[in-house]
Amino acid sequence: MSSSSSTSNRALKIRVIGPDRVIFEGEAASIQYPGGDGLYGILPGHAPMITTVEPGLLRIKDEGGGQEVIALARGFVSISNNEIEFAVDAGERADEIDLNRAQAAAERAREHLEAGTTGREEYDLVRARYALLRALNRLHTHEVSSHK
Amino acid sequence: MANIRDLKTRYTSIGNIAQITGAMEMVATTKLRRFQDRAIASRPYAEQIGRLIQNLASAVDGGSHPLFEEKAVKRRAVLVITSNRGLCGSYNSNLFAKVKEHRDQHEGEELHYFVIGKKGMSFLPKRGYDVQFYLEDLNLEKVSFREAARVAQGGQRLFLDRGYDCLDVIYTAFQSASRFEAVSFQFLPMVPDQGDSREGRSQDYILEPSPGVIFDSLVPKYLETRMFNALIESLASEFAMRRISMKNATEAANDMKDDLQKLYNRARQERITKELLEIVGGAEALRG
Repeated sequence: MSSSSSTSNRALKIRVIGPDRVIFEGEAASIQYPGGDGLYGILPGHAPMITTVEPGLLRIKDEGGGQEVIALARGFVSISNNEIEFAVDAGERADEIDLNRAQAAAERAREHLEAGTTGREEYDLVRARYALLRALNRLHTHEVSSHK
Repeated sequence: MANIRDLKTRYTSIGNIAQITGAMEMVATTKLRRFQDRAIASRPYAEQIGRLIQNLASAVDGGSHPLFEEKAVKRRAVLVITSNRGLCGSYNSNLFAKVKEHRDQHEGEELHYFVIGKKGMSFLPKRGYDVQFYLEDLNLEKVSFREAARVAQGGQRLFLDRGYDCLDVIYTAFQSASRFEAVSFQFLPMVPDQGDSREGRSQDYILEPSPGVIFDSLVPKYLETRMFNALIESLASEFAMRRISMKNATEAANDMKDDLQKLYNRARQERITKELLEIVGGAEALRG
């Protein structure tokens, strides 16, 4: 490749990989993602780094201020030579999110949580809580991406 | 001389068999492709997790992680991945041969078996293998990463809480649509990569929140990818073998059909000749 990468505005190469597919592959001027120690913003020329990834939004920004949003589940990311590779349990691009399904899932999870206080197994509660988080994460992703 | 009607019936029924095996061949081909695609699609993730492990292994003392702990092996757990259905050539018998070989290698240890697939469950207990658990609810053909992850987590519990010193997996490795091999590998304790991870590491990474935290959540993920890979490869091998054996069966049935056709034609011809002779003979007799 050419040597222009250090000055180019789209200097970051991004790959988001799930267990059974590549969720996103593209370039960006900067990104922002939720890591184990809080929200991270990455610009070109970042030092090599590996961190954990927490469920939340990955924002992939281009030089013009436009952004692509991806809902991430738990995972890891490695950054080196302006190449950023996410390996996450699951992820969805905003355009893949089915709004109705996400809303229904959030609804269902809330009901489970409410019913849960009356003596369900703890495991179910944990599951319902995660399901709710996932659904809210999707809804949030959708919302952010629809008024960029 | 064979009965003409019998020949006709056999001819038809073999034709039916050829049709069925032909259809099964086609189904197996489609499924094989699907599992091959899935195996390919899951590779980038497994590679990335593998790279992360390598990068971290030198930053963290892998040896101190409980899943790396080498113990003197008295109790060994063996996970055998077989198929639910037959008609797949020597797929299962190759596995059982490997299981036997594996048992001979570990004589004197207490071997406990954990089985995936109906075929393994109907065979192994009869041959005196101590089967502890049958993972019956695992839907092999629809296996997802999440299910593979559950199996891997179960394996970790065996190793950490249930007193097993080692966990081996016996499955069929998929090399190509015509090459596959029953193999065993050590799932736990994890074997640190003997490879060139130290030399190959070109840079020092910043590790956050901390090397230990990342490593602790990375190791189970790595095991999950290995388990998923073993399952997917087993399935790809199963359908590859089924495709081959169904292809052979269809060809054999068609050969048999050809032979029967010839027999039938000959028998029919003989009967006609015989009848003609009788008529001619009868006419002669009348004239005489």
